[in-house]
Amino acid sequence: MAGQERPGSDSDGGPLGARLRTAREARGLTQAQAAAELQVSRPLLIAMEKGSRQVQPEELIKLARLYDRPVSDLLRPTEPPVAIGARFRAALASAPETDNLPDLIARLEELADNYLDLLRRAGAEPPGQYPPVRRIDHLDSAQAGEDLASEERNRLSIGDGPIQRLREVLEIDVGLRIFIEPLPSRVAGLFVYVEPLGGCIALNANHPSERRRWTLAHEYAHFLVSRDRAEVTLVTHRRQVPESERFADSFAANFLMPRSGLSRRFNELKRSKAGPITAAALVQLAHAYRVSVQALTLRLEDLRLVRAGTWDRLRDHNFQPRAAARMLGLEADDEYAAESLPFHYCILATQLYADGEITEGQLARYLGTDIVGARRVYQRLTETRDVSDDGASQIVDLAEAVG
Amino acid sequence: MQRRQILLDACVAINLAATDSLDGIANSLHLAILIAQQAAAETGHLRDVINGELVLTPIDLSQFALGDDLQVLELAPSEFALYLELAAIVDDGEAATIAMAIERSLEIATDDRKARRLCEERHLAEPVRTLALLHSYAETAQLSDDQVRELLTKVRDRASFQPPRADPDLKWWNDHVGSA
Repeated sequence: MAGQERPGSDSDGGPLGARLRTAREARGLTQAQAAAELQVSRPLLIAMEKGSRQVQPEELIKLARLYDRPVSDLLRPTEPPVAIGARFRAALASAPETDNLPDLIARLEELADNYLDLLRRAGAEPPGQYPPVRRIDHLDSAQAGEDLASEERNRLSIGDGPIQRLREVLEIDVGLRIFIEPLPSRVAGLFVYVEPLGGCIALNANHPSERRRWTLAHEYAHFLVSRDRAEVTLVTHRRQVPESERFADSFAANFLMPRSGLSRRFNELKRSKAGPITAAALVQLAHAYRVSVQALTLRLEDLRLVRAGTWDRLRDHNFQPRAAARMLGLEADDEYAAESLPFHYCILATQLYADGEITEGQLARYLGTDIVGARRVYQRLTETRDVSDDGASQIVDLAEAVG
Repeated sequence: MQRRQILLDACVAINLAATDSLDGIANSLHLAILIAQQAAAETGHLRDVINGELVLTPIDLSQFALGDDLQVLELAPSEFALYLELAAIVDDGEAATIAMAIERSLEIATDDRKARRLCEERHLAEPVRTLALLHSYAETAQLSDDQVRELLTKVRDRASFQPPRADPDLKWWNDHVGSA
């Protein structure tokens, strides 16, 4: 077991002790309770967690069962990323409806731990090159949001049209780690920055894809101007919002729907209709930009391309954007539905499995599913259908080495 | 006649459970099928399509254990240290399976590349694969081509199994269910 800690070895304590402590706390057990279950004294359990007492094999197996953790997780050779959990905990402390907070924190901490473990196994670094932190404290929030969105579009070379693969751009080109998890219903998303993972964004899996897209752009704005403060974005209808939120919303609107590109498209649409802009045209335009009809209409109001109050009038007439989109055959293409995990995380896991570096059971654990589920994800991520020379369908394994 | 003891990992157990013929396979091939408790706990669900809906069907190995077609094994205290040593390299199920195979001199069945390599490093006999078991079963039970196709289709669709390219029975698989 080269390079690994093992129970009974002299080098116990660091990772194993810390992981035992973290697992116990995540299970909501006190040291006294865990010690009683293990039938040892509390000081002995404390000594195991501190590393001053070797953990015997049968004790570790019992503790893993008690904490409902695989022993292989407890034996990871690195310290658990408790700092990441603490940042998420601090960020979510102000959020309402926090009944399931411990479970959520544990899940986010586990995902971060898995990500770091995958990077360790692959000998890889997290992708992306972060831009320097921008200073906006002397600027008007709305203007700062617009200016920064324009700068970022230029920096990322994405022109002024709709961004088709926003998540890919922010994960691969920028290097953010984006997780999609069920969050408390009033929490749209949150951002934390913590080494060694860097910028981490969690989006609410229960929100519609257009809403998640907006939240993602909003959290990205926070990342661009502040790396030392965790941010939670709440769903709110308040008119008075903090300046930092006004800035992030302005950035999101301008980043997703830049003034020049949206104006051009809107005017083209207007010309082609040869008449007043209809609700159907708004639905089409919203679909093109992958934003909600509400966000699109409010943006057009801001740009004075439609009359102020247009969205309020639509809403008063019981306009149903989703039903309208369905009638027009414009179902939302949910770019986030497939994967709750970051792309790079999934690529690392599948490549390690393809290379025979992890087992199918480990792949399943990293992907948060069972073995058959992991097979299905692996096949989806690595196989592409092609046609062979004789015209028959064949599957090409994209994870297979070619050089 | 003594039955041939074979220790399945979770992956092979899933594949055999998907056939709905685990008992038939055990009887035809005169096998005593064994599985470590940790591996049994990792088997999860099969995927079935019922009335167009994808349904998760739990794999319940206890039904086979009750019928004596399968035996779920617990680690012995003397195997704990080796189990933990292996659990630092592979998942709990593979670690328990390989530890038991080493300590009890049992034959292993696994398709998992990492597990097979670990078996080789630990000087275990080359593990048997899912398709080798199914091929032997098809021949011993004299299944028709249609029956073989049905058997393999269940493994492909319910367990989402795709044999690795190194599998010696890959052609037999492709001849019956193709690569689709």
